[in-house]
Amino acid sequence: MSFTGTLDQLRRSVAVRLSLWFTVLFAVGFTAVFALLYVLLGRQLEAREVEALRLRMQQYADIYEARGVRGLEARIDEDSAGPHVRSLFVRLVSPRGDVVWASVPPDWIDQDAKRVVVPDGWGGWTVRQMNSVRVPRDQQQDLAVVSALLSDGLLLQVGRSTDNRSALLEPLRRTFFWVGSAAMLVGFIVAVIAARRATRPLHQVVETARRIINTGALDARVPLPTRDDDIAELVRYFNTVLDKNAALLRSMREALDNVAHDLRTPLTSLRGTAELVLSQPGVDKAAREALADCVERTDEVLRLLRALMEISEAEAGVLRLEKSNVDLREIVGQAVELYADVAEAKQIKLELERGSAIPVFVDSVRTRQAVANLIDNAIKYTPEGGKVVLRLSQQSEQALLEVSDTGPGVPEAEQPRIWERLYRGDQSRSQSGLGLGLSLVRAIVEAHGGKASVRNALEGGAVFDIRMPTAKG
Amino acid sequence: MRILVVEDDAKIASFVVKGLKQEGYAVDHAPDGDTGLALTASTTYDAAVVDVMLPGLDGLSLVKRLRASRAELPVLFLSARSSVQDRIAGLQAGGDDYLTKPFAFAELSARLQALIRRSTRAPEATKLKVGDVEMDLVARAVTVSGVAVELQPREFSLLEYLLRHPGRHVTKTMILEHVWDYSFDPQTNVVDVLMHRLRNKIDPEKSRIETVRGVGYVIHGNT
Repeated sequence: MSFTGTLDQLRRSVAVRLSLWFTVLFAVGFTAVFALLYVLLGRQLEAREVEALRLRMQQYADIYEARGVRGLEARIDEDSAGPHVRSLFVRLVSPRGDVVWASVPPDWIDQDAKRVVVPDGWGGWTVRQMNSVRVPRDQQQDLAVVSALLSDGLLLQVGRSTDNRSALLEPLRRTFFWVGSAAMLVGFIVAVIAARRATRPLHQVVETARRIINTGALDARVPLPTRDDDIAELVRYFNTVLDKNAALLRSMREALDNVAHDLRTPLTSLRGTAELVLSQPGVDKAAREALADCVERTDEVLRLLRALMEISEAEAGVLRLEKSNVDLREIVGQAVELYADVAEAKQIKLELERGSAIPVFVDSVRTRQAVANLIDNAIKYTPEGGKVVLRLSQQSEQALLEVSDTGPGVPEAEQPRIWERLYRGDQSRSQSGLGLGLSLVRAIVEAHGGKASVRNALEGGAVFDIRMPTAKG
Repeated sequence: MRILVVEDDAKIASFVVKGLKQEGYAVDHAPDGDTGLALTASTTYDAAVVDVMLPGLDGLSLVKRLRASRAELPVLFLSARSSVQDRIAGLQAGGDDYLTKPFAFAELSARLQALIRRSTRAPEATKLKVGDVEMDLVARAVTVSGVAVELQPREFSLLEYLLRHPGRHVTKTMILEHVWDYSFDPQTNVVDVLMHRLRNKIDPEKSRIETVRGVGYVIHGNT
C-alpha cells in the first residue's frame, strides 16, 4: 500500500517528471556528441595509418623500379632489422593473379596471406592506381593492405597487421559509459532537488486547499515563497482569493445569523406569551384552542427556519461540524431506537441488520439527525404491516448505510428531485411535514464529503443509501 | 427566592417576568448589562436569567465580571445562537446552563429550578411518589395504587421525568432530551407515541397525566 502509494506520488510529481525528461534529453545529447567524436577519431586514425603504408609502398615501388626484386628484398631486410619496426607484408602479383614474389613476416600465419586479396579488375588498370583495404583478422587485429600497379604490370601490395579499431577505442567507450552514467545520475538527483525546491510553493498551495476543504479552517494561508518570481505571484493571488472567499463566507454567516436572530426574538415572545396564558387555569376553551394553534405554528416555523438555515449553511460550506471518531452502527442504533415505538404503533417491522462496528469520522449529532430523517421518511411511506430494514457495510474508505422500505418506491423521474428543498412528490401530498427532511439529509451527508442516493429495489420499495467517510487509521 | 432577569427585548422580558412571578418567585428585571451588574451588587439573588446579546455590557462579559466578584449565583443564559461553539462560550464564561430562543417557558422554569436545587444541594431521592403512582429508582419498580406495573426502559424513563416535576409542565423537547438524549425535533411525533403507551399502562382513564395543548404534559397528584 505505502510502496505503491509512494510510487504513485512520484509519478504525479511535476518535479520528478521534469527531471526525468531533462535526464533523458541530457543522455541523448551526450550520446550524440560522443558518437560524432568516436566516428571522427576512428576516421582520423585510419587515414593516418593508410597514409603511412602508402608512403612506404611508394618507397618500395621506387626501389623496385630502380633495382628490381633484389633491391626490394635487401631494403625490406634492412627495414625489418631496425628497432621498433613492425614487420610488413609485401608481395608482387602477376596480372594473371599468381604471386610472383612475397615477403611474409614471421608473426603472420599462413592464413593471413591468403586473406589478403587482390583488388577486383586490377588487370585492367591502365593508369597507376592505388587501393587500400582493411581485412578483419580477429577480435583484436585487422590487416591493412594497400596495392599499386607497377610500370611492368605487376601489382605491389604492402600490408601490416594493425589494431582493430573498435578494440583500440574500447577504453574510450568504457570511460564514456561510466562517466556518462555518473553524470546522468548526479544530474537527475540535482534536477529533482532543484525542481522540488522550485515547486514547493505549489505543494503548499495544494496542502492549504486540502486543509481548508477538510477542516473548514478558512484562515489557512499559503506561506509566501522567499524568491519573488511567477510562482510567488500565483501564491499571492491564491491567498487573495482565499481572503475574499473567507470574507464572503463570514459576511454570509453573519447575515444568516442576523436573520435567525431577528426571526427568533419575535417568535420567542409570541410563543412565550401564548404559552403563559395556556398554562393558567380558567381560560376560555376557544381562546385556548387559538393560543395552542399559535404555539404549534410557531414551533413549525422555527423547525422550518432551523432546517433551512442548516441546509443553506451546509450548501455554502459554512456548516460547523464537530467531527470525531465514532461507531456508525451505534449512531444508527440510537436513531432506530428513537423510532422504535412509532414503527411498532404503525405495525411496521423496523430493524437494523447485525454486524461489526464501523468506525467513522463524523459529527455524531448531525449524522444521527440525517439517519433519523431517513428512517422517518421510510416509515412515513411504508404501509401498515410493512418492513423497514437498515443495512451497514464498509467499502474501502467509505461506510455505506442502506435504508430499504416496502413502500411504493420513488418514480424514476422524481428520484433526482426529492432532494430539492420543499419538493413534494405526488404521493407525499397527503402526508404531513415539510419537504425539508431529505434536503437536510443530503446537505449533512455532503458537508461530510459523503453521498446520498436513492433507487428502487427489484422486489419493490425504495432504497435510500448514504456513504460517509470512515475513520482515519 | 429572588431571580434577576437581564433581557433587552421588552416582550420576552415581560412574559418571562410574569411567568416566574406566577411560579412564586420574586423577580427583578434589568434591560441592559450595566443595570444588571449594578443590581447584583445591591441585591442578593438566588439565580439569574441572562440574555447573551445585550446593549452595552453583553451577557458573557456580565457573567465573567460577576464570577470575578461573587462566584455562587447560578446563571442561565438565553441566546438566539444555537451552535455548539456558542453554547461552549456561554459555559466557559461561567454560565450554568444555556437555553436557545425560542424556548418553552416550561423548560426555562424547569431548568431554573434544577439550577437552584443544585446550588442548594438537595439530596437525591431514591423513591418518587405522585398521588398513587410510586417509583423505586433503585429497584427500578413502579406501582400504581399498590399494583406493580411492568414498564419498558423508555417508558420508565419518561415516567421518572414526569414524577420529578410533579404539577409542572413538561414539554416534548424536554422529554426528547431526557429519554432519547436527542436535541433535534424529529418530524414524526415520537413523544406522543411513547406517551400513548405509557398512559395505556398506568393511566387508561387519562386522569393522572394531563395533556395541555401547546404547552406539554403535566402529572397531577390529587386524583
